[in-house]
Amino acid sequence: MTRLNPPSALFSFNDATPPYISRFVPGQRFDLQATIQADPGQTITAAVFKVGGVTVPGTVTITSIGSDRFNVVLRAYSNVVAGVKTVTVEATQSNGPVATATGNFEIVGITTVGRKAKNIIYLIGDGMSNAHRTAARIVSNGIAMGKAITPLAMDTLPVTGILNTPSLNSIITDSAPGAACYSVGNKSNNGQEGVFPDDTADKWDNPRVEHMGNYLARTQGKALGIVTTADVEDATPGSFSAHTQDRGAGTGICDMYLDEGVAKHNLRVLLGGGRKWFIPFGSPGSGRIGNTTSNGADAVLPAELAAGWGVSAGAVDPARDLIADFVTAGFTYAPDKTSLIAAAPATTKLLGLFHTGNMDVSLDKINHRRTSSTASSSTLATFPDQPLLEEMTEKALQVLKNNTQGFVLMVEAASIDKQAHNMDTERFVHDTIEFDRSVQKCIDFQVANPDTLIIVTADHECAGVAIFGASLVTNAQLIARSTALGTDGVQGGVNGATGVNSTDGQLQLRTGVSGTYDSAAFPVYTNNADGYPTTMDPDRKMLIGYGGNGDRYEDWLQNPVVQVNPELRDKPGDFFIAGQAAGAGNSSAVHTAADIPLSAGGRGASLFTGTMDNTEVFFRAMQVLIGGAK
Amino acid sequence: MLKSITFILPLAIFGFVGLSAWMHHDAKALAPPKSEQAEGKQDVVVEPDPQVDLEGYAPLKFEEIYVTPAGPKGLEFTARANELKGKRVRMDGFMVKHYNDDPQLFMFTALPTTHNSVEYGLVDSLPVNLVHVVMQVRPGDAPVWTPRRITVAGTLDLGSRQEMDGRVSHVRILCDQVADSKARTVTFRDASQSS
Repeated sequence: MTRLNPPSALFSFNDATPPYISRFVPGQRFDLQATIQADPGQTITAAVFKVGGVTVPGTVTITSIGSDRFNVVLRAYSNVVAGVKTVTVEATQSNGPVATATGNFEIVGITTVGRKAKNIIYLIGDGMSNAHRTAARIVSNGIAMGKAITPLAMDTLPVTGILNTPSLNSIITDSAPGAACYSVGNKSNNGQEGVFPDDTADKWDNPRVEHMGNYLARTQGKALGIVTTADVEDATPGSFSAHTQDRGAGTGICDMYLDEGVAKHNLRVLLGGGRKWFIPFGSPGSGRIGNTTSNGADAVLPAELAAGWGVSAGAVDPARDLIADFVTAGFTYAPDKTSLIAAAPATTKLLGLFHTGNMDVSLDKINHRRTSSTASSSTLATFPDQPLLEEMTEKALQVLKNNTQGFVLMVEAASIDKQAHNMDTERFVHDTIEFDRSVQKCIDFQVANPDTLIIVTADHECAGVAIFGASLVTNAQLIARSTALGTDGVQGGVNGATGVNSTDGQLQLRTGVSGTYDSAAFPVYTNNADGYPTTMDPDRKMLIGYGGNGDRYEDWLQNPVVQVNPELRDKPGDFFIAGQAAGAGNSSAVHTAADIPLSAGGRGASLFTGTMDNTEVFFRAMQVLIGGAK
Repeated sequence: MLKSITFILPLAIFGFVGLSAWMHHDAKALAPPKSEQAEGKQDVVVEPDPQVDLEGYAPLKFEEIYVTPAGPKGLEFTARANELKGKRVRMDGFMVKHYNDDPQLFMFTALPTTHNSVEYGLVDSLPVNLVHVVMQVRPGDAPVWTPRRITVAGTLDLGSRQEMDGRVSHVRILCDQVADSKARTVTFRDASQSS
């Protein structure tokens, strides 16, 4: 036996003591799976799974996966009795021997107490840790005489926790297991959504774990909503409804939103970018493909999986018009902000796709609204009427509230992470402000609907963001320094200067600019009537460095163009900062293992204190939703 | 063995001559693919040719590819793009910086954009009017990323096609010629060392 799912330290290290790697709530479904290495030339002819020594009923499917290895799986197992369980697989080889292996898992009990939450809202600032929040607070609301003039909306939530974020296979998680843990309560390998790892190449056959939305739809009739500023197939939104080992399988993940999400998870709201997965192959702008193994793959499930979970097996259908299929299923389709806002209050199913890829970031959207300029981003010329996250959040709440049994809503600010990866300080801070304004929309909803639990957190930290000080100079001086020539008339080594002049950048943009400790003082930003900063380039602005950085040039000024390579932008200033992230993509910052903050408010929020594993959030939320809280 | 060839390489003439990399104007060589380095092959530095002739290639801007703003579903090619379909065009732009999955093409945009393809795969913030430049050369001739503006000339090919990385391309230039737009110094692999 080379693998036994669900994962356990008992199987991997013969350690039966806590922490138990795999945990489930009573009745939550998951697959039992094992990989068996047979002797050369032999096959596996029979297999049974036993929990607590009792054979689990159901169909066990045995599949050869090459090199005398066999995949053995029993679908959609569940257990309603709380406690730690042993799971054993017994496999019979064709020449007679029987091999066994044992692991364990825990069913986490639910206590009936107090009052249940009817609704839960997860707000995920992708990549957002303490420094991202602090930066947004300084820029959005200001600090004076040592105190925040006004807290962020997320600061006003009464309960605070700290989360550990490792994935099943690394101390550094990516956004897939970093988000899926909130929906399924379990770890998975990086890149995987709603599944445990296996040993097959098939993206769609992995052992599944039931999503919160699926569980609460079938047991309580709750609706599911997914809102993001990213492509909707991206890791965080996908991790609340899809089951795949490949977060990049966009065609299949988006098909799954309709075929499983709408059908089984009561998915009622899906808003974001990623329209390319919804329009037929052959239409300009489509990203749909028929291949089931490539990046962007379509989904076709094994028949035994589809039967075991009672779901559609899917089809290879790159020409599918998924928007039309959503509309046929009763969804109102909004292609832009105007139609989103115009959707009637009585709308019960809403699909909004505002961009073919990731939506533009808030700095550029706001700049476009203020000036009608598209200079900062070429995609605003193509999609000029994109909503802000707060507008999507408000509409999602309006639609989901129409479901009388309550809802699960996930709201993601995706580009906090994406712009931190790109070390674009002004854009990730601006998106954190956009995120916080969405948090305020949810707090307003919770005040009117008290049986709502709000959880504001992240999936991981991105880029090792560090606010190390503030500029000592005015914006005009900073511009002058970023373009000043050396004494030889040439600016810096990158432009051919030699000797002392080759370090112009350090002399111009570090010395005399980087103010630390007392000299950082309190940077002053102001807001426009739209609630966003008047400028991200005030005099003596806040300065940010990156601990998980890639190579970049830095001039501290707002980048006029989004998504420009950090090795190319700001180059005239000749202030090069070498990164620590290695490899061909070394101009991108990376995720770090730093803990992330959690803020909670509303019904049952008091449970979310302390330092905990990220999967624990799922169990405390399910306690509030199923059993209640005082 | 080094040898001189024309600055802009008409592939129709040189057939399967490898075009693998360009030179930064400060003469800092961009490394060829590791597999090629391991084989001991040399890059060929070619001096600028003032006689570059792009006559016959119609200039096409990125913003001329699709109708803007987009409609509620897919994108729509402009009349000019449709008119130039199958014809010879030239475009100025930048190679997208990412992990290059396909040794025979690169992504091309108006601005020097980056894409973290390991983290995000096909989820991207790349410009909508992305162009795939198809290098019609022998397998393994991966163009090496250059930070400088380049000029690409070739046949405009419109229509949906799945590329090696899973991405669907809609606009391609089947490249005849490519060059640094300003410095006009390029590096080619020596064809005589090709396998």
